[in-house]
Amino acid sequence: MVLSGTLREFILADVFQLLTQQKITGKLILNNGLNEGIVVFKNGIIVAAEKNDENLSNKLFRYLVEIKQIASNKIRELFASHEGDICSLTKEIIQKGYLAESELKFFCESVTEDIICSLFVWNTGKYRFNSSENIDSLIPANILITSESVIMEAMRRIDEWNRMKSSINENTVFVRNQKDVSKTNIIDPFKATAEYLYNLLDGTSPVKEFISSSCLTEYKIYEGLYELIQQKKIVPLSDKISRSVQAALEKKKQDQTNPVSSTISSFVLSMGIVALIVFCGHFLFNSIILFNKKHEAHISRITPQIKSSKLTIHIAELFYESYYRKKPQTLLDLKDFNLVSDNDLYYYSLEETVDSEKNRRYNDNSE
Amino acid sequence: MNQILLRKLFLLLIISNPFLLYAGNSELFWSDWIQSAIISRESFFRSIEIIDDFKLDKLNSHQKSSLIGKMDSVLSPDSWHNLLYGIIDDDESDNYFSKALHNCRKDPGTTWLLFIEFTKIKEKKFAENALKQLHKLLLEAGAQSSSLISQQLLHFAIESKSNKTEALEYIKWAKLFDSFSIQPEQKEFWISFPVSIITKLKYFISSAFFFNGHWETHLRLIYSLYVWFRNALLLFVLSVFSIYIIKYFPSALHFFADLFPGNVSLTLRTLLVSSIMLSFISFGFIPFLWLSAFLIWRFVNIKEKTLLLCALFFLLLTPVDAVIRNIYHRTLDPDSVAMIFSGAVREGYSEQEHRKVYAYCKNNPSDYLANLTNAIYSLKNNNLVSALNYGEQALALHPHDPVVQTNVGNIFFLNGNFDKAKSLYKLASDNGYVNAQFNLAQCLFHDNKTASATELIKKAALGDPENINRFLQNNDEYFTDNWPSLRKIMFADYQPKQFWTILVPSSIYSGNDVEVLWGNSFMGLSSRNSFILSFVLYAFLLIITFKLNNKRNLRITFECRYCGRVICRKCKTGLLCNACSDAIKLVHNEKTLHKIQLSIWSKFQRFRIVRERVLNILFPGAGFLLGEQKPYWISLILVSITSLIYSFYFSIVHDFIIREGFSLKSVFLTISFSLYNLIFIIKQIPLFIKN
Repeated sequence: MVLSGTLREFILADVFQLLTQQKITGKLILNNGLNEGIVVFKNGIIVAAEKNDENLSNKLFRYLVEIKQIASNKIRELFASHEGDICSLTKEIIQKGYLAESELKFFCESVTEDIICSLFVWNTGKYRFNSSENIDSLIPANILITSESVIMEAMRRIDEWNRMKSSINENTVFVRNQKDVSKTNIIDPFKATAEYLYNLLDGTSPVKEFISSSCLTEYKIYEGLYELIQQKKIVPLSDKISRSVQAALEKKKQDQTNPVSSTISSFVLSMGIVALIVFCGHFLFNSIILFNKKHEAHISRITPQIKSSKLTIHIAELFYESYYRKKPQTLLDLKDFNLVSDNDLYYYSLEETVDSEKNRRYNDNSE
Repeated sequence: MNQILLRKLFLLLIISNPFLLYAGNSELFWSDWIQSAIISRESFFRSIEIIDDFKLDKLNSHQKSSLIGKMDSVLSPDSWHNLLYGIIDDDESDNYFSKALHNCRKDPGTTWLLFIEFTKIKEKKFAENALKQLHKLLLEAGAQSSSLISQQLLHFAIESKSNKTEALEYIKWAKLFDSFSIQPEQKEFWISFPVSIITKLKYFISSAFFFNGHWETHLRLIYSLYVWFRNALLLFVLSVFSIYIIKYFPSALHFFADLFPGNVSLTLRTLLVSSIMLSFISFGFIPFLWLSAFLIWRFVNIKEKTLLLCALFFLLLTPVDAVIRNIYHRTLDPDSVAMIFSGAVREGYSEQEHRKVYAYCKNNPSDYLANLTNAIYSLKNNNLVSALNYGEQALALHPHDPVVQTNVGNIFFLNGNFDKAKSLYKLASDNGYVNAQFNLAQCLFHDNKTASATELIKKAALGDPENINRFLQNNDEYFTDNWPSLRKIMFADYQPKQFWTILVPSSIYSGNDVEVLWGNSFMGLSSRNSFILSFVLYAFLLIITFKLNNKRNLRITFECRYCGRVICRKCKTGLLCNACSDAIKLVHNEKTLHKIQLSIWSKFQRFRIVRERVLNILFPGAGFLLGEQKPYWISLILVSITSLIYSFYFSIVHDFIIREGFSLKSVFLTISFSLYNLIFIIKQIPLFIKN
């Protein structure tokens, strides 16, 4: 069956009803430009749903780790091994005794319902239906949700949602109204959502952090917070303060994470800048651009020393030959007899540099 | 390669040290005579199969008889034959040695080699006779000195280091053969050190400041004093800048340090930024110092500003230093006209030098000194016509110069034109030239005006007793009544005063050479532009000094109350830096707080104290200036004294030690200079222990 179209208000209810009536099996894919949602139908009954930013696997993972206190590495292995097959995953969870079947089913139904209801809020976008018989792996814990119940719930939630959205922004930070001692025992988020959220509040985390890090869906979180607001147990911080707190937290996060890497990167950056400056100054500027001036100045400075050393060596050679009746084999012979010093030999050795420079300049001038 | 790098470092410390530059030319006076004498000696020894290391003073009877056999066939024995006969035949040795000297009475090369052989076989009397003969030949050639012989005699003094008397004897002869050179004086000073300190200091001071002696000696001494003070000023400027850079860079560069992540320690951030700033030295030292001055200017107090302004003033004068160094280099360049002229006056004829100055004269016909030099060389080469020609040209170009007048007068004298010579001598002697007075006396002797001539000679002797009396004594000793023509007159060279007033303005200064020497000292700008730019920067700093003093400025940096590190409003928490604040933020107990405060404070205080003490050990006074423990003026005086002492050691003493080699004296000198640091080390050790 080919079913597709553009999303607008209340259209999704009609689509659901149609699919239920047709007792169709397949995936209804919705897209509002930013996110994508999928509702899986089996014989006209909803059996699964997921959204980009919210899906059952993540929520289930967090539930098992935070609420059921199961070691995260065990759960991670389990989830990894059942990647893409939520049906076998849920079976495995039941089999391993992490959750009772009824509890798991309740969880999956609750989360799936929340996801589907959140899709009803989309006013723009497109939808299309893909018939597919091969959807068993997408069904968690054999849940079955009738379209009528979902539609009714979704309609109810739309009004609620608009009311809650006016009081709660995803960047809002809530603080407790009174100083309570936090309860240390674990509260079931599904049984006492408001209380669970109340315990999570630390005065620094915004709402979006709860959405991304807890096992509750967005709607449940908003619902819980709204309830707490109604009960005057929590108050929101102003936007300005919230933003400032966020900025301070961001900075603190940066400060706390990897001071070693900051130090190393600062050091490397500084040395890079030093190397660049030295390269520009010493090699580029002095040795290339001003090479001639530098070289000529150097030659000008050493030329008197060279002439002096030549004279000293000439006298020393003459003396050596006069006294020892033989020519010195090397200039080091003169040094051995203390007739010349290391300085004299050094400057004498520079004579070649000066001569070659003079020849080069002479050739340049004649050209 | 490593040696070359070490030498470059060495060069930085003793740049343009005057004592390394010897006067003279590459083909020195009598160099050719000695070389031909060596060839002649070698061919003789080879002919009788004497090999190189044959010890003539240790011949056995068999060797002696073999040598006699080889030499018997020679009909007219020369000096070498007679020398060997003298060595072989002990009874007739004096006779043969005298003959040997007599045979080479006109040959300075062979005379010199004979002196060496006599010295080797320990015939002291004949060695001295050989030197006397050589001295006579020197005077006959119209010379007053031979740097070649003098230098070689100094080598003999080095060889006889262990025998002080003998070494001093050789130095005495070296002085006789070159009384204008400073080398024998230095050598004598070193050998008699520390006994002769006062005497030599008097000599050096009189040559440098009282314009006694030859201009070359005077210039070398003055320049070595200049190098000493210049290096002292350099050290002073460097020390002042270093101290204020250490003190104020953390404040000046704090803004840049804050650009690094906050979780990098403040100390490391400051170090990294400082190292970036220091890397700008690669663009040049002078630009870096100016940049540093501008960076730290707003943070220094008024006293420190005054000191920095002084240091910057010296920096401003660095182009002047290039001019002074250029004058020195140009003057004492062996190929400079001044040196060649001096050589022509003092030494005998050298064909190579004559050719050099002849070629120079052709290209620079208006250079009076070149013309005069040409004239003197022609005269000493017996070419009177050429001498007269160039002499008259020199006189036309520089008619009022007493040196020109005296030397040209000599040409006229030797040409037989006594009237002209007299008029020139009169002009020169009216300016106080004693050589001209002496020469005028010779003219009067020629005119049989003996009484006037004698009076004039007495007057000249009063003016310069040493030179005049020595001239007369030498003539009487060697020539009695028969003075050679070149020994009848005295040639004139510039005295130290005339060197500065006449020679330097007319021929020494060259703007182009100054620019070459200046090189890329200030970002490739010429010396004049560098001076102008430095002046503008200096004036700008003065202006902003007054403006900053009048305005009340808001402090932008502070010091943490605990650790003393530099912080700003953005990175401080109350009166503390973030690190100290973090250390105490969870502490509420007063005692614990006080303990933490004390521990932070003492840690950083210890570092500061160690830094100051180490600076005081390495450069006494610098630590006091940095730490402000002593009164400001005391610290300043100490830094100045340290600069002077260090400069004296590295500019003058160190080179002396290097040249003279390792000995107890050099160790003593090194230790005595380290005593200055030792005093500070001894003072610091108990303080280190106490801290």
